[in-house]
Amino acid sequence: MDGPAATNPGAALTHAYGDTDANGLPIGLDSDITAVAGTGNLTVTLRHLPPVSGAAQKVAGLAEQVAADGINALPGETDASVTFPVTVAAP
Amino acid sequence: MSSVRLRSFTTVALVVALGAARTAAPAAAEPVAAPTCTAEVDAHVVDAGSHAPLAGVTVRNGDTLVGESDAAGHVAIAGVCPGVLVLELERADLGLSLHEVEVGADVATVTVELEVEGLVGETIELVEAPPPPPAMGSTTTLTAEALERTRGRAFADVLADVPGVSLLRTGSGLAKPIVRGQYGRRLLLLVDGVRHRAQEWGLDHTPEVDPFVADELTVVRGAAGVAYGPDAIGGAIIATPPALRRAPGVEGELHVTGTDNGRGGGVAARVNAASARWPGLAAMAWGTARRQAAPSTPDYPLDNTGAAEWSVGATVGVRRGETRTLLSYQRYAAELGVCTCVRTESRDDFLAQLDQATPTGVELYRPDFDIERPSQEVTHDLAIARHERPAGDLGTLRATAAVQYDHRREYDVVRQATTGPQFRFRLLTGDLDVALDLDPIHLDDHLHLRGQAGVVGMAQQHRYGGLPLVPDHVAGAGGAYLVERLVGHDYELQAGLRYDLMHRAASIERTDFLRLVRSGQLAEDACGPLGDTASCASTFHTVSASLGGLYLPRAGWTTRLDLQLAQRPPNPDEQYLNGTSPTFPVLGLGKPDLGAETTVGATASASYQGERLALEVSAYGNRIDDYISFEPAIDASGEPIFDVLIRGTFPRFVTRPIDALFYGADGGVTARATSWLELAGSASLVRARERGSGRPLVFVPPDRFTASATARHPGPWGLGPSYLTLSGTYVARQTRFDPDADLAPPPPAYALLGAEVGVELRADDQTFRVALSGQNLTNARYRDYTSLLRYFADQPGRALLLRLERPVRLPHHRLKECHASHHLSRVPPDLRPVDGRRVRRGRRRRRQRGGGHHHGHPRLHAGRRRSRGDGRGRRSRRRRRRAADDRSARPRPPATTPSRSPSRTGSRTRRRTSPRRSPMRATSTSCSSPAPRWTGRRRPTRAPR
Repeated sequence: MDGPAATNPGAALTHAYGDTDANGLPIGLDSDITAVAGTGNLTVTLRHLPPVSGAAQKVAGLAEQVAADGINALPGETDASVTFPVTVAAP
Repeated sequence: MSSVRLRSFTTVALVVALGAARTAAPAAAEPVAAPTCTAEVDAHVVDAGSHAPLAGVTVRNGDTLVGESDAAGHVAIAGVCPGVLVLELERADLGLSLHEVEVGADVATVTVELEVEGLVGETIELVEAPPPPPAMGSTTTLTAEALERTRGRAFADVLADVPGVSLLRTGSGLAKPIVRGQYGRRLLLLVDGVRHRAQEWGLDHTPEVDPFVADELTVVRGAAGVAYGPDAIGGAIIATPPALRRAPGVEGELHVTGTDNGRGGGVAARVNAASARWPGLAAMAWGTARRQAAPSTPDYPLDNTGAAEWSVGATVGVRRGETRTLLSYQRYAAELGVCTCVRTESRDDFLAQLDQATPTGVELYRPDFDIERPSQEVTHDLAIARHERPAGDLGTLRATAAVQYDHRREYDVVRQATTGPQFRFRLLTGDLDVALDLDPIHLDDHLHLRGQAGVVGMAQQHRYGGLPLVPDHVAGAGGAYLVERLVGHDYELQAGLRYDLMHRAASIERTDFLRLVRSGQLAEDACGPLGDTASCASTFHTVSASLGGLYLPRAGWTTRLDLQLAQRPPNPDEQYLNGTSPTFPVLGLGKPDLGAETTVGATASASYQGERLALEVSAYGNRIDDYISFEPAIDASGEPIFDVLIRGTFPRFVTRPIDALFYGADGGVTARATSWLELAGSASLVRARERGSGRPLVFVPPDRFTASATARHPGPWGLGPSYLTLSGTYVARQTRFDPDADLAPPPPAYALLGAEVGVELRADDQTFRVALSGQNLTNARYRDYTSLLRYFADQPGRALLLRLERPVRLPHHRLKECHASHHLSRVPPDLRPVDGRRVRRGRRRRRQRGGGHHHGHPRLHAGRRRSRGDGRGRRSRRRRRRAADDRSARPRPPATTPSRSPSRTGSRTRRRTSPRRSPMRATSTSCSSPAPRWTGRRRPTRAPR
């Protein structure tokens, strides 16, 4: 998987956010995934980021932070985290 | 056998012990010579009716002060010349009595028992609730100043300095008390004699009690199953509210506190009134409110740990003769934020931040008042009805009915559209307790049998709603107990037996039931046919027994040995827990077929109470069979089991019985180095492990040591009595831990420094007390092994707390009260002498004299009354004055002062350790002396010879 939240150039799946919220930040309910032949793991995480002391925890650059330091470096907490092994067969 | 003859005066009964004299010099061989003053008189001052030892009785030989009786009623008089020794015994509430002791010329030691009751025409009645069955284990009681110093703190924090007590801190900033390594389910809390019924099992469920309810807090260390109930394995904490007033009038107190770290403060007020128009009618009302923002660690705020607490309560009592009826209601409510830093929903998140110095997202943390999700909301209502009356010749019957409703709501972080709590617990409990305090049986002059018998009953309904966690249940329980206490001259034996029966039926949802079956915790056919719910019933028979001995080897010293057997039935959560724990990222599963756990324990303790030194040391060991432990589940090959949930992979924890061993020691010492300097220290050590494997148990408090120095001044710069305390606490690192059963290694050791300065101010006849205290003055960064916060964040840094206290006397009542107190002045209306009982003027209960036992005694009334000239008037004045003093002289040991069991600790003994008197109520009842009485005064004492 390669994309904003994971840096794996040449991975079987390439991901791009297809939606934004009112603040112009990506959500991920709608995603564009491009596939090439190969195998790997696809992890889908639902993370809640409630405001803390009235300030939003969801800010720009979170996906990039996940790519750099992993999902646990984010504030907030994981509600669901499911990893799918993916095999994309050559056409 | 020595030849001793004693006389008593008409108003005073005096008993001589002939047999107990330790030595008797052979008279025959000795030549008759000039009398040598080498005899010793070992006097034992006891209450004439109950034969309970009387502490704090001043004994004089003519004009020479001999001493004051200790907690066991002992006074030793050395260097006595042969002849008649006239002893003057005095205590404000008991008045003055004279005893003659004849000491033969050939006698080395005379042991006498001095029975004391009131003066002629002034009889004393012992009324009020008798003490609970005597606790033979080690106890510490916080009263007056020690308690005042804790005003403004939450319940558990009040107990923080008591030896043997540690705190289990939660993510909300509040804490649960731990006594000798036991907490929650194994630690009983009694409020006004009623068992606190709440969700004690949750690690993050702090006691729903306002400490202001109590004017006396007693910590009973060690198993006390017979006295308090089958689950008092770790001990008990007893919150005793102030007594209703007796003398007509109104009094009140007001406390205001404020703090800078966790900005905020609180107020607490109490009014205590007794009617002049309807004698015997009295009432009390109190209320508290506390609002606090989130405190900060040295580096960052603990976001969302603000708190709002309030409580109200009222008590009305009617007293007619020896019959008393009391109605009381109180409500405690709290809203507590749980630190934003606490992340337990996902194991990966939890583990990821263990290595971090600061919580993730700390830049958004604010020390504000807002309480957001996650948070807790609790209310606890308690209504009590109590009736007490004489039961023929048997003793005193006391029946207490109580209803409690504990309502706890816990709010998780959820989507905005979701409202309401995610966990909601409603616990309704009715308790009935009928106790019969048996009148003492006097076996002989030195041997008395005292006892208490009782039956208890309980009915409970639990309703739970929310995410899967615990089931609903209904439960009923009953029990009966008998405690007998054999009181000898310098020893005591106590034996108690208790039986409890509990039946409980839990209603488990089908899916939860199937999960318990799948995980092997429950047999499929264990609960009968399975519909939408399964009804799992269990019945427990538990037996508690105690056997204790107490010996007073010499003046001031008390040694005790106490053996305990206690059985505790499992809690519903231990049987049926089913869900991810709100406090840890683990999946918890109960074991429905758990049996009762059985504790066999022994405590040995020694204490000393002297003029300048007070100390108590105790060592204990508890062997617990089938100790119910919450531990990682292990599969057949010894590997930990993990469950994959939608939030990730969770380790499975289960309750299972293991054989455990708890042992340790704790103690404290207070020494008055000089007239103005008091030094104190305490230590608490606990060890706990699984027998066999030797594996340490989790959440066992590390070794803890405290030391303090208090300097007192009677009144610097025209101010009232003042003090300055410096205190230090050292908590070692817990080196005994099981890395598999915990999620992070224990934090390092830490040391904290605290200080407090307090002063008394006076204006007119009102007293104010102001104190400023500082905690963690060095702003140390530390984490506590027994804190749930330790996985996520540091403990709060430096905090200053300002405390203001003043008694309130309503002006328009002053005249009326003076009038009333004129009649009643000679007895303090609210005095609490030995045994925690109160003394009141009135007719003495005849039956307390024990069926003519004393009257029939040949030596009892052989004495004569000795004239005291103007004594009556002089005494009256003095006693009136001292009566007021006594009201103010509630025992105020420093928190670290070890004290004895409530039944043995007279207020006077503890008073001696604190030279300054409390001014709190000292402005009352002084109608005859219009000038404000200075409260620091002590009665001039004559120097001992």
